[in-house]
Amino acid sequence: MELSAHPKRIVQFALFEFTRFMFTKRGIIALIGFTAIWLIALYDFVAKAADIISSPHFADFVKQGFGLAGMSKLLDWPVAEMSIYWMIAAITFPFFTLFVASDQTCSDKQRGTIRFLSLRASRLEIMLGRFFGQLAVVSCLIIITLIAVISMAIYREPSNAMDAMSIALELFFKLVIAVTPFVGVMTFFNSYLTSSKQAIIHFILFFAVGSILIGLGQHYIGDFVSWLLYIYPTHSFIDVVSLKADIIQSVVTPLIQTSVYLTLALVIMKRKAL
Amino acid sequence: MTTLIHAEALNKFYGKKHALKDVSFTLESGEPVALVGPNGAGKTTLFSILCGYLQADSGKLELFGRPGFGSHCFGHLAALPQDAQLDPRFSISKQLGFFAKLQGMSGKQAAIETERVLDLVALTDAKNERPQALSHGMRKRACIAQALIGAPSIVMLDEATAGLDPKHAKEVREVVAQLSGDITFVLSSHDLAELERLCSRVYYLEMGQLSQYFSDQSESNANYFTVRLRQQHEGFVELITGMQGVLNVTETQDREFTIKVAQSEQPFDIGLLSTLHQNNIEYRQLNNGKTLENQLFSE
Repeated sequence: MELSAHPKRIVQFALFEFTRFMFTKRGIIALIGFTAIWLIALYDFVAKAADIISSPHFADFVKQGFGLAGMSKLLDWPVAEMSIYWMIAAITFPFFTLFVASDQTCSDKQRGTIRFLSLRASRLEIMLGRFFGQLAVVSCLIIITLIAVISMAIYREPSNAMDAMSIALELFFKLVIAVTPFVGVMTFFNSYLTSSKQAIIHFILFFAVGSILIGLGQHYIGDFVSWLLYIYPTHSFIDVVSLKADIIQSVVTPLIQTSVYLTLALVIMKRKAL
Repeated sequence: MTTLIHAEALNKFYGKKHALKDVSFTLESGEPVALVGPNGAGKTTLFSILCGYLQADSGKLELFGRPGFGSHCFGHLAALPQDAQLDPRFSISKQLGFFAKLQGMSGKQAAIETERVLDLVALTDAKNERPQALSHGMRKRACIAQALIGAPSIVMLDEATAGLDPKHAKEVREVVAQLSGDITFVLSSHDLAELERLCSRVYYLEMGQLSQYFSDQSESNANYFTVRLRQQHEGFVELITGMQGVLNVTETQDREFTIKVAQSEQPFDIGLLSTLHQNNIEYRQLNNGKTLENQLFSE
C-alpha cells in the first residue's frame, strides 16, 4: 500500500474535522461540557484569581500539587489569572482531548464510510488529516479560553495587557505540545478499533493495567523498567504541568511519543482491511 | 482501448479458506463488464482488492499501468462498495462536496459537481437531507452518486440496484448506459437480466476462480436463439425442429426454448417469427443468442 501524502488533502481532512466536531452529537456534548466547566472556572476561580493567590492556603496547595519549583514559577507570574488558568487548563485539557479525539477513524470504519474516503486519499493522509484536525480543534478551544482569561485580566487591571498576552502565548504552545500525544494515542487506538467508546476504554485499560505491570516490573526486575512509563502521554505531561520540565521533557518527549503513536497507527492501518 | 486493470494469479486467503484462486484477467476500457457468481464466490473480495481495501496474499495487480492501488487511482477509479454507508450526521451534499474537494476541486466546482451527480441519480431535491432521513433506495443512489464525481475512468458498482425499487433501478441502469461511453463500468449483481441488458462482457467467479468468460460475440453464443412463449404450446419443439437449419431445440425453462441453428446466409429469426405468426403462437421475448442465465448454468 502506497505511503503518499498530499498536503492539500491532509488540510481538507483537517478542515472537515471542525465540521465533524460542531455537527456531531459527541462534539456538541463535548462543547457543552467544555463551556460549562470553563464558565464555572472563569467565574469562580479566574475572576477571583488575585484573592485566591494571596490566600495563605494557596501556596500550600500549589506546593503539594506542583512541587516547590512549580510553585515558585506559578507565583512569579505577574498576572494572577494566568496562574489559576494554568492549574485548571493543565488538568482539564488532556482529558477533554482524549474525549474529543476518541473518534478519528473508528466510526467511519464501522459503517464503511472510510471506503469512500480511501478511494480519494491514502490511509496516511486520512490518518494525518484527522490527527491534525483534532489537534486544531483542541488548539482553537485553548485559544478561546486564553482570550477569555486575558480579557478578564485586562478588565481587572488594564496594565496587565502585555504580560497577560506574553504568558498566554507561552502557555498556548505549552498546552498544545502537551496535548499532542493525547491526540496521537487516540489515533493509535482508532487504527484498530471501531468505536470511540472502545477507544476510551482501551486507553483506560492501557493506562491502568500497564501502570500496574510496570510497577510490578520495577519491584521485581529493577528500576530501569520505569522507562516504560514513557509509553504514556501522561508521563511527560506531569512535569510539564508542574512547570518543572526542561525543553526535552516539555517539547521533545511529547513529540517523540506522538511520532511513535502515529507510526504504530500507520503500520496497523496499512495492514488492516477496510 | 486502454488497459485499466491487469491482474495475474491473484490469491487471497481468509484463514484456511482460499477466497481467490489464481485470478487473472485484463480489463480494457470500453463497454460495461459484469462480474457474476454465487454468494461467497469471492466477488466482493475481488472488488475490495481492486479498490485497495484489501491486499492480495500473492499475485500481481496493475491499475492504469502501475502496480496496485495508489494515488494514481484517486479520481480515476471509483466504486460503490457493498454495505458502505455515508456518514449519517451530515447532509449528502456536504459529504459529496467533501469527496469532490478531496479529488482536487475548489469549493465552487465541488458544489456544481455535487449538483450534477445528484441530478444523475434523481436526488437533487434531497441534497440537503441527511442519509438517515432517506429511504434505503435513496441512500443507495446517493452512494452511487459519489462514485460518479469527477471523470472516473472506471466505476465498480457492487450490487448497485439491490434494494432499489424498479423505477429507480431502471434509472440507475439508464445512468450506466448513458455514461458507459466515457466510463468503463464493472457491475456485480445477482440480477442476470440486468447484467445482460447492460454488459457485453461477463466474468464468472465461482469458488474463488474466475473460470468462465462470456460475451455476446463469443463463438459459444453464436448460432443460438432463445424464445420465451407467452403460453405453453404443445408440439412447439417438434414444430421448430422441423424448420430448415435448426439443429436442436431445448426447453431450458418453463416456456423458454433455446434453438441451435446451422450457420446460414438466410436470417433464421425472420423465419422463426414467421412460423410463430402462422401457427398463432404468441411469444414474450426473442433473444439473439443464449440468455446469460443459460450460458452460466445450463451447460
